Amino acid sequence: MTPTRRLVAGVTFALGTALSPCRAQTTLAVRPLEYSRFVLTNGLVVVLNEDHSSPLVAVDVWYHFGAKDETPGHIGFAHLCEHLMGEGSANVPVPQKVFIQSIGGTSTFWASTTEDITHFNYTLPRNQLETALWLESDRMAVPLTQADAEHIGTVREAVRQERAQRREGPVYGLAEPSTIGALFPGEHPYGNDPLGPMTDLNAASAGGIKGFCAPYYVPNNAIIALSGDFQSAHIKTLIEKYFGGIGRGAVPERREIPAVGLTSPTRLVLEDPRARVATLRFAWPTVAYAAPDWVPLGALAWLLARDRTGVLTKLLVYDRGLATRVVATNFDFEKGGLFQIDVIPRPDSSMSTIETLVDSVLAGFSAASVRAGDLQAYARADAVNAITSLQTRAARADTLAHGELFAGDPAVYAKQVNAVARLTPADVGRVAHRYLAANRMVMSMIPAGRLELISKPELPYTRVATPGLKP
Amino acid sequence: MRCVAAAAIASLSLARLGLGQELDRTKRPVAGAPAPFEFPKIETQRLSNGLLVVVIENHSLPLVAVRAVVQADSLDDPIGKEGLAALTSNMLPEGTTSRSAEQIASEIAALGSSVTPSRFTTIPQNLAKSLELMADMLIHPTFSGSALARIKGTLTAAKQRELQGPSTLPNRVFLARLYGPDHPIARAVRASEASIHAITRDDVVRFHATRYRPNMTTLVVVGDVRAAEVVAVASKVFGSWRPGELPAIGTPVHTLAPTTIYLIDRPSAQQSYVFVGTLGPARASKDFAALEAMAPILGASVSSRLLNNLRERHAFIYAGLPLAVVWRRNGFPSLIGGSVAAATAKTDSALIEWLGELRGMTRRPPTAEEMKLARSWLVDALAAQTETDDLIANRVTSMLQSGTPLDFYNSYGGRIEAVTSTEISAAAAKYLDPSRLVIVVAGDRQVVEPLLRAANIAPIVVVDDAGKP
Repeated sequence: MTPTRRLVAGVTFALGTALSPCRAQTTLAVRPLEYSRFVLTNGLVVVLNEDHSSPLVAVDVWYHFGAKDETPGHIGFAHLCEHLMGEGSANVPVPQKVFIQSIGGTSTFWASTTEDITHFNYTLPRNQLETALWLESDRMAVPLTQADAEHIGTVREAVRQERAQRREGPVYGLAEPSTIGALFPGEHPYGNDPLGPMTDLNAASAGGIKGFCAPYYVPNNAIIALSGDFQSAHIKTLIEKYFGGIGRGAVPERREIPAVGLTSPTRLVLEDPRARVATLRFAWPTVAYAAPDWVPLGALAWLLARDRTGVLTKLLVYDRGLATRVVATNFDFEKGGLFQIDVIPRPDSSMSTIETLVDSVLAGFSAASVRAGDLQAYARADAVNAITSLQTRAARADTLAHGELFAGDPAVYAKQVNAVARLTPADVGRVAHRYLAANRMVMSMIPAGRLELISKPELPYTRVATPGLKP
Repeated sequence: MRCVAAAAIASLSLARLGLGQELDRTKRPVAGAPAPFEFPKIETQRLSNGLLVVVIENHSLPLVAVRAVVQADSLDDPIGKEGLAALTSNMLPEGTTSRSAEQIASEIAALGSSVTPSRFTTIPQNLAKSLELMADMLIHPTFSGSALARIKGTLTAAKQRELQGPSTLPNRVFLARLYGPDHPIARAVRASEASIHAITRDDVVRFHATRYRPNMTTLVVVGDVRAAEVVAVASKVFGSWRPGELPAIGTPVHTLAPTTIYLIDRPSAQQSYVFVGTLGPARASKDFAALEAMAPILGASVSSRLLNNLRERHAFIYAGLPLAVVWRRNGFPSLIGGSVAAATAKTDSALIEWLGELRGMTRRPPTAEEMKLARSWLVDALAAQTETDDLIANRVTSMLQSGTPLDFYNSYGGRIEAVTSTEISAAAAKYLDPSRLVIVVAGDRQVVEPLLRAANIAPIVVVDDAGKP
């Protein structure tokens, strides 16, 4: 249903962790979620987190299949197949979310496809857990039973509407695919938008879709994470019962992920006829979630753009009054990442001036830019966030599955949080220098035709093609 | 992940056969009895200055979620000064009589979790300090003139950005046609550059002095705390706050016009934003439970009649909430309605199906299965909907804001269980009057208008962005 990119760090750090802070004056150590992990003989990885404080269980099933697995001619297949997998299965005659809702289940998104994965996530009353295992094993045992011409027609139309609503519909909705297209150029796997254009989907046959997607929906390419009110020993027996008999499959070989790095500055202009406010975006390719530099990059995003005291926020919003908002985020993928800074100027501000100021801050950013106490404050903020963001069982299951797949360690988040406490100003200065280099993407987002608003119009730039957006 | 060796596949296939004989996948497991739902226990205490402290203890995680519910939201904006409530609350962190804005920001940064004048969620160790900062911002703001100019600029820019959203303007037109253009509910979404510009520092100071008073405020604290300790800290930091007099609130009355389609032109838009709605009773109505149960059956749940029709059967829409019952505060009428984004060329078809389902709710009373869906959606899901301290605190906050009694959930499940199918279709007949609907369509007029005229659904009035013909 909802392609999302995992937000891992930045001023709105969304994925954090753990439940028991061990008190210290300024730093807090995060104790990881307790979990048990086992692997069925067919390769299915199971991660269980027991919590008996409420009669609920979150179910989260991950398939290692996302937009980056789509080869040319198959763009958009992962997302389309996520929808088809949600249309029911051999013994579940209705869409799974309808079924799950009818037994008291809820979800904030039900299913999601990212660059790297497809997952199904919901929370339901504990007495319905076995029913959920039955449902998920039926979906996995014979995947894509609903991939017939009629369902594909309906689902393709739903996907078309979803794309319109998320890409062409919102003002500057094409900024996201344009950003990844610029940072991961050509046929780079991470250049694929999970909500990719409809061309390949319109041309696809039922056989072609099923043939491409089905090999990924196998137990040896999946993780099931449960968090909530159950007895692990009992659930292990049930998982063996429902999933143990599903055969392994031959997962297609993964494509190589070429190293990226822009060889020259890339300047884009995105026009939108409905826009009223401009936005200036800077973006650089960075590193994967499990890479050591992911931690100092998160600190850097926070130091640059946190409320009022962040270096860029203070300069642009408060001292110079040029902008209303600065957002810095370090996004991660399984095998790559990107650092992004968005500045929303005041209506009468010059984006060229803003770009010059951002450049001077970044060029001058070093260990000395990190003030005394900054990193302790970040460490504490990161630890508190790790606790507050894992309130729901759905978030806990998701975090464990994410760690398992992206780092081979379900509780890696706690290690990442605790690594923040060991950061030095030199670490942050080093990653600023190494990753936020002059060869980056700069995108001026402007109301259509208002080219006088773009940043540094004297430098060569490319206008982003926006088919489907007319004045 | 690499391809698996053929030998491994062969050996596992044997295992699969063995297990397959035992497992019959056509047999759905039989669920045990559900755990009964109980809303968490609420403790309340009123301080001597009138501040109501609401505490819900939950010791499952080392966390605490806090909300300050002040009766000063956008529904209280004076006419012509829409945005005053938002501006006032945004000014509170901009300096107090004892702390500069920078001091407030750095004291918050040292805590490691954010504190706003209206809310925070943190670890229990941060509770006292966070409450102290919250109280200082609520009680002693200085409203510096230079900060006011900046915040007005920020708020204006935010409103401009909001206008970029494709449903912002049609939603304003929708609410103005439902409630009347001067009703607080219509004006609450209408702050503009002009109305924000019109606000002076005196307005802000007066609004704060009138409405930010302990006897009109509730402090909600949920989490790993002891009620007595919370009351002790609250008395310390809020004790000096002086009560005031609650301003009287007038309730404008509005009569719905006969069903009309208000069409806003969005040239070349790929989707039409379609709003359909009418007014319902206030929450205190005896029809409350019937309407509450009708919503998931008709349009609020993914398996509802409207979503099943518009999305699953016809793929006219990707998503949307075509019908909810939105209960309002102050005895204001509820809104029964919703909106979707429909494919431009299917705008007429979507609307025809939509109105058909509204009429059908009277003619085709809910089936036993639909009644089960409503109960499960409303009652069985309550445990998940109150899973966390934040969710509980938000729910209590919205109860306070809408004037819902705090013991509401003690009887809620019983009231929903007691609703009958006949009562729901009777409520539909009473409130879903096809001749008193407000329909707003924002779409490509060139394509949509001829379709709607041919469909002959209702009179069409083409309106501008402000809703004027």
